Amino acid sequence: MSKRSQRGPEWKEWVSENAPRLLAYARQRCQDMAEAEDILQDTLIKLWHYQEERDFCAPDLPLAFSVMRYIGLDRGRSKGRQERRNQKIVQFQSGNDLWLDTPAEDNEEAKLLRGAIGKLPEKLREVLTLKIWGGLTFAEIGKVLSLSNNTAASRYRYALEQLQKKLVYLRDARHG
Amino acid sequence: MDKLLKELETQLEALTLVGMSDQAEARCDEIIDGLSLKSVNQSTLGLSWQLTSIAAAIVLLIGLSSGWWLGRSEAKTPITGLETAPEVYVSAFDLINERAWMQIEGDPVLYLSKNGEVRERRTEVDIFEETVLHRDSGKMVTVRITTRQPINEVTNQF
Repeated sequence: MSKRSQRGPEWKEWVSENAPRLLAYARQRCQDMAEAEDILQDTLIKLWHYQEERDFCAPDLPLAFSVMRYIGLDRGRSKGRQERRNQKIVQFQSGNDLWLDTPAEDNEEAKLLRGAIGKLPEKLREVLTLKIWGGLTFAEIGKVLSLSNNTAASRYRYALEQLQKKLVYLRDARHG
Repeated sequence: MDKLLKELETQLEALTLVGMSDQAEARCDEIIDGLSLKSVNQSTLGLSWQLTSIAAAIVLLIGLSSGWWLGRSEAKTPITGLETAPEVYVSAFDLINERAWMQIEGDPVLYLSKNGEVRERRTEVDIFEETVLHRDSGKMVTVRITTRQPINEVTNQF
């Protein structure tokens, strides 16, 4: 049996383990979860071919995010960037298509937080997603997004500060 | 990082991610099964990586023929006589990036012509670079075309 054919179970396990974080990232680059799942599938095919040189072993996450980013960008380009961006803003603000679940406890606060994340600028949200849910280091984020480590770190910090401000505003608005 | 931001990080980490739908999971399993069984050299288009990399160059030439002009001398000439690649080649690639720039090779030389004009002689180099992704194999190809253009013109820039 070839190495290639033996790798199936390993890849399935890898997908099962990492799909939520990959989908969260794909969701930043498309309109809905269905499209995010399409991006994930396209990514899987590309990654398989990339890994040919490494005996088809399951890929590491930074590579997966990089490939996913390229596929997301490419799809965006072919669909018309501006149109997609407009739709995406509406989607994120509508909250009908969620990519984050809230824990049972303190649900209201978590919902506020989820709403605030959706309103972050794309560049900040992307770094936040890769750091918090993607589990990447700033060096890895830098590689995925073609940024310096420092830029990745400062975007992350800025994203947190923006979120903090938005949360305060939303809390105040909620309590009148 | 201050305490508030640390707390916020903890709150964010408590938000769980939405998983894949059952349908998508089944589709991923199908894809993996398909990829594991497919023979190494098989490609959807039936084209090898090496062959299609040649096609990338053809794709580039199509780009060139559709509007890129060589040289900056007064008599600009569009590239002509290029062959059009069959659709099957073109559709195998995604354009990732393209850029064109011009640079001067060596130092320009100023001289006085016999009829008293101050002329400048230099060699301009036009460079066109295109990166395409072979969709089937995931390989990237960067093709660079360099064209040297001798320029000899009157100048009043000293």
